[in-house]
Amino acid sequence: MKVKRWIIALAVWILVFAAVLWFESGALKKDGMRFFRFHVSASQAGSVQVFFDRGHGFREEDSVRRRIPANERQNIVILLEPGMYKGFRIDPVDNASPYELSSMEITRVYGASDQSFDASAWFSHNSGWRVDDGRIIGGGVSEIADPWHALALEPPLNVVLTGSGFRDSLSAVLEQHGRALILLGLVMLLGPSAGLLGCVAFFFRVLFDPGFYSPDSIDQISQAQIGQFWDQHPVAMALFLQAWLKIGLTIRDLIFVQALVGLLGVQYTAMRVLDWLPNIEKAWRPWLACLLALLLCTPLSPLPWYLNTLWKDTWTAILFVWVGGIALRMVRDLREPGINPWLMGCRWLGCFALMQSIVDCSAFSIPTIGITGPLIRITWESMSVGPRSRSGSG
Amino acid sequence: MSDLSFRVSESPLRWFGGVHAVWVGLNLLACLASLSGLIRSLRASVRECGWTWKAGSGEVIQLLSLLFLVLLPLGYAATFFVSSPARDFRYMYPSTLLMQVWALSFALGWVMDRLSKKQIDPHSR
Repeated sequence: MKVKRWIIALAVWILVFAAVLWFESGALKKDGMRFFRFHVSASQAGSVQVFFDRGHGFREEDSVRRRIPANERQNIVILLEPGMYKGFRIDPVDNASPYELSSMEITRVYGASDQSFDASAWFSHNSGWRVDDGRIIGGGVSEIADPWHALALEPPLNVVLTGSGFRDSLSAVLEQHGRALILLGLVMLLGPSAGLLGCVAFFFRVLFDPGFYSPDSIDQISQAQIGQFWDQHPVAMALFLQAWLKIGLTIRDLIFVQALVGLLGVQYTAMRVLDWLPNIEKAWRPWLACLLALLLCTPLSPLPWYLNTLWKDTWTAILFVWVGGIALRMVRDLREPGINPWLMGCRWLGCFALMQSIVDCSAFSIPTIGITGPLIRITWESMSVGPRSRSGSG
Repeated sequence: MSDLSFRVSESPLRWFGGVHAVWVGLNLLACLASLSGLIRSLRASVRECGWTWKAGSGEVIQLLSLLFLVLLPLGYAATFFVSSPARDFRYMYPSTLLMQVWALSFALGWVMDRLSKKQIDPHSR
């Protein structure tokens, strides 16, 4: 039975690995994509037309039109089809209104600049134009119609979508997801339902990559990086981030761990609730709890967004769920024969106080950590009390 | 995913995961149920043993602890009724999430428990 479970876990892990490999090979292919981007604004609504010289001069069939509203700066992004580009031409407005062009550049798939073009490098025609602070300003002269600005690319731009080799994809997967895949394998060993939740967390990692960051967490990350701390946000969390980065792990890894701990916390707490219902098959309980965690991973609930956002509020929510599960287990243990319920009740209160102080530490500042040490002892004692091998408690 | 989430947030489905009041209300009901159970159990215990330490039976202590436990998310949410720096959803989300896990797993478990009970004892009504 155990061997069968190991084989299934290994097979699922290999499937996940293959899926990530396939996904990353597509992402590497996207790496060759290029976009022509610029900002344009005009005092009258109209359309902007961009021509591409692909070796035959500027032709209507090699052009793209975009509608622009009046008095609103638009970010125009045009996908460049694979092939050679010898020049660009922008016809900023199809009327005589004043206009402004800026930030002309070639970008990569995620918006990173690949090559930017100085405004003075453009040849301008018929526009009464001037260059001011990196912008081309023109138009507004009624007798001048159909202004345009052109740029010759020297050397020409060659857009090639190269398919990546297996080795490139493999090294990209190992570099970006290696540690997460190892962690996923370990979670799969906890059990099939936990493994399924691990796969869900991994799916969200790929979907939301590189995760979400609140202004608070960005501030905490910078505190961790420069080693100076202030208590506008929880110092405990910034210290934890510093330790995490010092041992060579990344924030993306932390977000994955956060999602895993959150989903497993939901499953654990749901199982502790199911322990109170005696007629449910023992084997079904982890799967029912897993079903609930999956329900909370749908768009019905904001949980997937929280679990993939590095945020003190996410940590508090995860801790709260674990507190709810552990405390519920201890309350149930109160009725076990041979346990003094008053003693157990006191220990439970100790556990509660500890958990609350941890929540406080994650939400407030460093002085609260002082009370955590003694309380850890109480909790450890509390958790080691009570029969462990009770039916229904996993 | 974000499109779906936005659609949910603009439909009545938002009451499930996007409105704290639903879960605070359920939490309040759970507190009242625990309190009434505790009072009933304490009465029975006092009737049996009088006002002695023995009246604090396992059941009474358990219900008292359960009451403390369900007060935990309610107290967390209640602090924001007293004072809140902004109207952010995130503030009360920890207590809402815990109530969602407790309430939904209890509801799901209760249905499965009834179904299992019927299978074990087909003559029970």
